[in-house]
Amino acid sequence: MKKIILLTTVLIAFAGTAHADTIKANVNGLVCSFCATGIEKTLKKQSAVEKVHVDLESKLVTISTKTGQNLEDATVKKLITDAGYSVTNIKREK
Amino acid sequence: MQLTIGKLAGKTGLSADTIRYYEKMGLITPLERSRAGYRLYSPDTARVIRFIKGAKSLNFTLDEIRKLLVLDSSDRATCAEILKTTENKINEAETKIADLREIVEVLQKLIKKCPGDGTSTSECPILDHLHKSFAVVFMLASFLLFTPNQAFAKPISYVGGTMMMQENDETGNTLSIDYTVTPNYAVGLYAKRENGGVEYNTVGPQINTLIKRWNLPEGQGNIFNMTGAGVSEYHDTVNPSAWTGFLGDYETRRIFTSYEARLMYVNNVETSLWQRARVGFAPYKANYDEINTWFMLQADYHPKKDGTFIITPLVRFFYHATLLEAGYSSNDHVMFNWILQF
Repeated sequence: MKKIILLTTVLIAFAGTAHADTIKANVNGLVCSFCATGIEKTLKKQSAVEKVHVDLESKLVTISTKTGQNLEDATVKKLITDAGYSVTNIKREK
Repeated sequence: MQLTIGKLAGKTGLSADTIRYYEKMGLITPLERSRAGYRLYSPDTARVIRFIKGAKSLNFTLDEIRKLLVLDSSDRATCAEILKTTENKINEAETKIADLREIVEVLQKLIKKCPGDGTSTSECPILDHLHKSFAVVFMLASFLLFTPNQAFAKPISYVGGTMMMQENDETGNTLSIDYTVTPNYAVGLYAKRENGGVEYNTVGPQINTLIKRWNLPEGQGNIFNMTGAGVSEYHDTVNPSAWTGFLGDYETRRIFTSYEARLMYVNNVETSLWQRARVGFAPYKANYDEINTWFMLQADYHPKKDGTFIITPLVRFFYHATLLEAGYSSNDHVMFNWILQF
């Protein structure tokens, strides 16, 4: 019985960490989709990234990470800066 | 007595198709149409056509002839204007003569190398030279087909990104390829067939620097420098050359402005300052996954050309990493540019 409880606890703990993140970055300078393709190409090179969505209207870059993988705020900021833009805010949704 | 197109053709020795083409080009105009809809020309049109034929035999283009006809019929035009057009034509003819003389010299040198006996064609120095010339042209063309341009887009993309650009317009044909090393630097190769006054071909490496960028909530502004050095081929001589240019731009999702000045130095050939400015607007706000359309007006000023501004209205389309532009300049040149990013 103890073994079953232990196994269940481990599985629950695992299920708790094995989620995908949605990272939303507000970006300044996001006015031209031709130039902004650099953001998509740069982020998609990251193994943790599942999907990237750029929205010029809301000036928002939405990154979905792969299940169980994460991308630090500092990494997101550096990658978007390397693509030529400025990050003003980052929000995360589980 | 008015003339039908058939009679006019008979009188001038031209075909009816050619007469219709001259009409389309604005060189002649029919007086009126008959009740049946046929063109009717004034007898004076035959004189105009003889003028056109005479000017064509002196190598004037139809566009130049149209301008001459306007001057001919203007009360205010002076002999000085006709003289200027004719002097330009003389310079053009002299350049062609010089080119032909060079061709004769090259061919004479080749003839001297040829044994002219039973030697196999595989060892023929003339064919060998032509093969080598073709190889050089092929290499240059291949290079040009796989390169980007600094004059109409940002010369730095994203870290690790490569941008190929080609620009064809009244200043010549430019090709370049840039690789962005850091957010502020890109390195690349630049090639241009210059037609902005003195004609020559240039190729060389170039470094692009982002001096300053303003990322704003509703816009982006940049100042770039593009500097390079290489070689320029001018009348079969190879000369060292160097260039530097500054490009400033600001754009929102609806408005675009840019200004570029480029200083070009070709040893023993020319030192020139070329300037370009652009303004544009987008008729609608396209989002990231939509085709973007822009209408733009470009002004070029190249003092070595003829000291006048060349205006080019153009349309720009882009979708994701592909950009195309097409326009037509005030001095009758078609513009066609493209960029690919990957």
